Amino acid sequence: MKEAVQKLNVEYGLGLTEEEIEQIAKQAEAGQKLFAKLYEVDVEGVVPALKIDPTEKA
Amino acid sequence: MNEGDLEHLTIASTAHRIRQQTLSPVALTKLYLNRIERVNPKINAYVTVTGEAALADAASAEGEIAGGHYRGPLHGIPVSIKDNIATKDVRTTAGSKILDNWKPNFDATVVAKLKEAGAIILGKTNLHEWALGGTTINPFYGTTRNPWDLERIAGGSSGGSAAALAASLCLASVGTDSAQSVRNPASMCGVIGLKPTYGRISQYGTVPGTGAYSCNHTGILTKTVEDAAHVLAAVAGYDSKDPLSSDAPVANYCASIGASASRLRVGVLRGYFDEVISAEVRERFRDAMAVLEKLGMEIEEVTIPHMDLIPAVKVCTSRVENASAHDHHLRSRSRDYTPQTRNAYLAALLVPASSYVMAQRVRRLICDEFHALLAKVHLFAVPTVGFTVPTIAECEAGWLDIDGKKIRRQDERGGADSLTCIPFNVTGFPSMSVPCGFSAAGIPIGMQLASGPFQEELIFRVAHAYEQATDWHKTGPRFELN
Repeated sequence: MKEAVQKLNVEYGLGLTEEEIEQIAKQAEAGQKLFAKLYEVDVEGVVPALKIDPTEKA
Repeated sequence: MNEGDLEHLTIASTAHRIRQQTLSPVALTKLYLNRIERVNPKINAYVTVTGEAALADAASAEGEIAGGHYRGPLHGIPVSIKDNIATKDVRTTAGSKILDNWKPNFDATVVAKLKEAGAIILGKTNLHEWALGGTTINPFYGTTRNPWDLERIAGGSSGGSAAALAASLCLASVGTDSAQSVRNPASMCGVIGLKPTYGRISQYGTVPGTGAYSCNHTGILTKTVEDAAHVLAAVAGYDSKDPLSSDAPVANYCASIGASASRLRVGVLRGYFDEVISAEVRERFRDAMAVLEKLGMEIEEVTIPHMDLIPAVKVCTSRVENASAHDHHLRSRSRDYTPQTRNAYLAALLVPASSYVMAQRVRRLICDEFHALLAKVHLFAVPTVGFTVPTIAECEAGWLDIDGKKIRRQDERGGADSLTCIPFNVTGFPSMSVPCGFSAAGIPIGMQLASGPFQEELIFRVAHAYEQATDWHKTGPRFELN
């Protein structure tokens, strides 16, 4: 993940310090860990809610 | 009328006097402006006060009413606008350094509708930087303080709006809510906070990047439930400028005020957020449910199979959609964000597209499960915030004490204070925070009432019945004004 942040740093011209790169990498890793749970759900046949229409029913 | 009388005013009571011409909108606006001048330095609710324009608009309203052209219950009513909602020729900062001098050349639709209804705009209220947080501790525009205890936060991100209402510095405010941002500060400041159904109020003119496209709602803060119905009636409806706004018919919300709430079934929502609900909040909430039972409602506990995945869906969705809106500023002015905000957006740029799509697939399951619950219950109830209002110092340190247990205020799931609110941003269901008591320290506690989509009338019925059965809305903050 640190490598990905370093790439962003160059591409966006952010001028991040090593410490900042590590902080962002840690945050991104924590997010990925949280999102990993989403892949455990059986979503066979489930269409993404790409536009939230609150009136849509099951 | 003198300045102290403002503490007891509501839109409903004031509108009647304005219509009868026994109360002058100009005199009323002057009283509010004087109070803002005196009180705002203590709580920092407003970042911009538009006194001159407000007085001109009040004079115009007064002239119209005298000429027999009364527009309705908001005519001559002083209101405020959260500073991430565009106001023509008036600075709109979004709580950011990047937009510190931005003066839009247009009004957001919600602002235009308030003006059409004759409301008087007093100014712009403070918020968390880019609306990304629940404290309104803002390094660029200062911290908004809670009128009930100046050492405590006002909540956020619409902290300025809620504090302005609690301190009687306006009669209504409009804010935005993509995770909690209307309901949380309303709860912490002891006022009403309504997040209507997704798309019910146009978002045209909300600053992009101050709330995820698919989770954000324009919301309303008022002192009473009836007042919220008056404001919603004025600002709801389809807007061709906002493709995400809904063309569902706008109901007669005011007709719900005073209607019986007996025999309605209320589902107390249980789930992952139970761990952050303190004993004190749990007790006040239980008392509130007992009141609903006395009013003839049936109470039962409910949950959904994928409840625990709501934070993952919410965070993934919000971060990605928000980061997309910030791409330009991240490339050109990354040092003009606070490090926390910048880091959150940069980390979001690394979320794989497949995770975002997966979040939307799980989101559909969650929405379907909530819809299925509506066959059992008419409404949902849950505390607005799990714990009592923290101090500014606690928030700055980043740790909260819940019944002796130390928890991080913010973790990968977002703010601990947003956990009970986000189910209704993921689903888009309407939800309102209603005061339901006080902590031992005398600080307000709120509960949420939510319903199925476009059933705001149900919320108004129950919230109003509860409000009339209790006295919480009759007590104001005791802070020293002078």
